[in-house]
Amino acid sequence: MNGDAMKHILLALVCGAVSLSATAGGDINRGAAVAKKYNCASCHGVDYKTPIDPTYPKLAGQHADYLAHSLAAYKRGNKSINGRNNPIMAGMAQPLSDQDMADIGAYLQSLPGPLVVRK
Amino acid sequence: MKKLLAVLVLAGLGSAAGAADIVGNPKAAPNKIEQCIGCHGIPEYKTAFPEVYQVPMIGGQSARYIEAALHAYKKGDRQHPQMTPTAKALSDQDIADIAAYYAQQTVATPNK
Repeated sequence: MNGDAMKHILLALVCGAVSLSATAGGDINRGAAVAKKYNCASCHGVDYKTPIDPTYPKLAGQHADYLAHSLAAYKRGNKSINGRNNPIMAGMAQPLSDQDMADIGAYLQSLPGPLVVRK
Repeated sequence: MKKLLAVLVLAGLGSAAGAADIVGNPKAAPNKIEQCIGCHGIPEYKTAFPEVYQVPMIGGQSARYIEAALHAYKKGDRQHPQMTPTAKALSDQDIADIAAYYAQQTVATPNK
């Protein structure tokens, strides 16, 4: 392998690593602290897969970016496009910053859960 | 007045029984999930509006939550360019069947 090819491969690897960490976004440890502060577990379950009411979702292991999006949608409300109206979650989402949402998502995704992708 | 009350109570019972009559049947779902699998059946499938994010994993989710989410799209409490029209095309029985189907999935479920 010549030097130029090696440089290209190295560059590709570095770019790959950068884009991976950018995708991950959220901070798991900070997310755990934020989830504790707002007591998400009081409804979604201490392990985040046994919610106190069957109409509440299991969150453990769910995609972090989806979870952050859903919190943003609750914060927007359903008057906005791609928003959600839910009396409980609207109140919960209001004080959250975008960083809070990304961190909560990263934390919840890191937990073991029953969710799967199947046809 | 008592008669009116009795009518109201009975009407309430009737509608409660009506809702309870709908039982999700996962075996009835395979003909109803064509719209679901195009996004939710593809690992890491992303949607892009307004945030870019992976569509949620719904296999193994609780049936009652899936039902609640679909009804929320149907009613307008949730707004989404794909999910709103998809949910509006489903009957209450369709929603119950689809929810029961996805709720029973586990890591052991083969990906047909």
